Amino acid sequence: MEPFVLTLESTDSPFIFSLLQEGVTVRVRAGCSVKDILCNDLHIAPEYVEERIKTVFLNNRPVDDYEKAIVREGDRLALSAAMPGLVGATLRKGGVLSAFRSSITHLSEERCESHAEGEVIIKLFNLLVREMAEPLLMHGIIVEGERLSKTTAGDLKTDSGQRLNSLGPDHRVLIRLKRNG
Amino acid sequence: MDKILRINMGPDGAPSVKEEGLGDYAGLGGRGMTSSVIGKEVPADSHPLGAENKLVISPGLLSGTAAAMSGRISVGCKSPLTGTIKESNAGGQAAQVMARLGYAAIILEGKPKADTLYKLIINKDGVKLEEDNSLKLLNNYELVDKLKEAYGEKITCMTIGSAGERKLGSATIAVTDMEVRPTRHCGRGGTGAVMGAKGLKAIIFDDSGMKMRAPKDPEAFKAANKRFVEGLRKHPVTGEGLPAYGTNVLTNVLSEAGGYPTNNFSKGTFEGASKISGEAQAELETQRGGSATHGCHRGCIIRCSGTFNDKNGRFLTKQPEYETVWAHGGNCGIDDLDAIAMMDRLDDDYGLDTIEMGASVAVAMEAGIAKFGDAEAAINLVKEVGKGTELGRILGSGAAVTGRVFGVERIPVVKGQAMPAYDPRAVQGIGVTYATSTMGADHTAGYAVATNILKVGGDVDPLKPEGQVELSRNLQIATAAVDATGMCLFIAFAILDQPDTFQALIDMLNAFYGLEMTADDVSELGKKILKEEREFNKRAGFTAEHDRLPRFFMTEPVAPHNVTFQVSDKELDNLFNW
Repeated sequence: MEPFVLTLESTDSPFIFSLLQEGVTVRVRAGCSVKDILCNDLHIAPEYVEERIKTVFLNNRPVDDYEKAIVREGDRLALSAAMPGLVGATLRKGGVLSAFRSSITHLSEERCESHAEGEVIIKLFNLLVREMAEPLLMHGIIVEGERLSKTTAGDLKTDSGQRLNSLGPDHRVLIRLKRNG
Repeated sequence: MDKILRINMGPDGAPSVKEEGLGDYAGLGGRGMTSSVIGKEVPADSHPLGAENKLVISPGLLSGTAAAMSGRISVGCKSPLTGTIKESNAGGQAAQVMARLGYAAIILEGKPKADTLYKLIINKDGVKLEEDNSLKLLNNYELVDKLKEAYGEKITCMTIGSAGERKLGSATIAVTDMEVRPTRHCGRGGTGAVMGAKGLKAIIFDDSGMKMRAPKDPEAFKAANKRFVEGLRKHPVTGEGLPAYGTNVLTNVLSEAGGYPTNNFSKGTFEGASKISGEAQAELETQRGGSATHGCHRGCIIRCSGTFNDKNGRFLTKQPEYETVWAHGGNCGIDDLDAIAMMDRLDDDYGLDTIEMGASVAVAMEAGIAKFGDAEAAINLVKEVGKGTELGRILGSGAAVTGRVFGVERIPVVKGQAMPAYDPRAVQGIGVTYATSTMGADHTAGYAVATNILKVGGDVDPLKPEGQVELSRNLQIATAAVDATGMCLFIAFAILDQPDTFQALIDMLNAFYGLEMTADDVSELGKKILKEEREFNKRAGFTAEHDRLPRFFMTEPVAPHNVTFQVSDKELDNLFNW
């Protein structure tokens, strides 16, 4: 079932930040590397990915090489800025402290051949929530209707006029940002 | 900072107070001072609550100066919780004020013969030790209010609540912050119980009329401090992440990593993490007219703290830190920030270590005393400690005692001290530090200090299995050195990534004291401190067998990674071979 569409004027709505932190579904080319998805599908600048996104988890595993971590259909990708604490520093990509979490580190892979469109879950944490909200919403995020209704108290309508609190359990909503110009 | 205040609480008649020169302790501060005094003067087999134990309070080497971030105060003793040597440090105003009053250490010794409670007043005119039984069993907030009424709003206090007077293993020494609230605590190891055993309820400092400590080379010091501050401000962790969200920014990340101990270390992710995350906390604090960015002492530029108001917009507590939110939150299955903040307030008021207390409540929940996730029951368990009931005394004695009393197998402690908020099965390197630290399980014992710059123990190959032991060793050495400076450990992130910032710190020390220290000298200082602590513990009866994690970490895989702790005993035993 195709999702309903909800177009927002800006990223200012607080519920967006809460959704992004908990995780949203995003359609991307499954089978590409973390870096491919961030830079080519979501159009995040490579410099930003290199300098700002210091901690990445793919299915709970910390990633050291964004070009050798392949994101497949149904995977969960969580992104964070550099974190405090010994363990925060340990979870960052690469570096000498990565030895501390070697038992859970994501192992590098060869590139997957299939690049069919698929859905993955993306979570944004801390500084990245506000900074990456816009590119993610420009691309479009998908949220279960019931969850969106709870988060917004059901007081929004989709572009086609459906009230969120009238959506059934199987309905989903594609939230995107209005393109200017 | 050229004198030591030595107070013997034990003589017949009245306690004796004397000032002495630094003698053998010249050039020491913070953990360097406390561990040296305890190592030299306290019989390792003494009872922690007895007359032979001593309580040593010492500001860091740079405290009381214009150096940014130099407000940590160390307290040392033989720990009633672990039986090991203990150094526990806190922010707040005490380090700066005590250093400006000229004291490198206060050493409390002996034990009063009568059941009398004392307060110690230190200002520019001198030192007074007075009896004051009207303070008996007051908790920290009421106590500090009463002291403010008597001594004015400009004081800084170090106090114990009812937990310290009851000599509980989780008892802390509270340090007042810039608003003269008892929100900062020397939390770990039961230092408050030792202060209680000495019969001292409060130390009241007033540095009115005292000047900032002057460096030997003011220009070089000023220049180094400027570079140091610039380094902290430009780093994304110290300049952005910590000010915006505080340490609780780690909740989401640790849960995502599967390293967030949940329901008494039974799993590694918490479904309610996003509800109690730093991001959610900062938003709630701002909504209620509090603040998500606030320093704990003057001269702090990171400002990782904040103020947490209740639903009516009234101050409830300072912004709970990550370890507190975890201990009273995810570790007990609780995802309610208001309930967690209430427990933080109660802990601060009674004078309890939030990590130990949360761990005790979680162990009690495992025993069936309350259900995981029941916030009201958890609050009531903490209140039992404040009331001094039998159950409260058990809980306040720590997770190890609680587990033993209630027959729980999964007790997450090392050397009797509860583990902090990182599961050592997911992040095995921190398990090495938990196991081998001279202090019992302690996440700050081997911090992310720039060992690559210090080159302590040589470079580490992260791909080798033994790399974790080598790395933990290097971090523990470097951390011990930083703990001697009075610097907040959060400077570590900037000096980890920016060699210039680390050099600025060394330049500050050199300019202040007229030294020519190098990074090698800093690591030698760290090694000396660790060696003294290790020797004390050996004399107290600790062996390699105590440098172990509880067995369940080797036998129970933790989800989502389904891993157990894999570092062998043989590797752990290598940690102190340098």
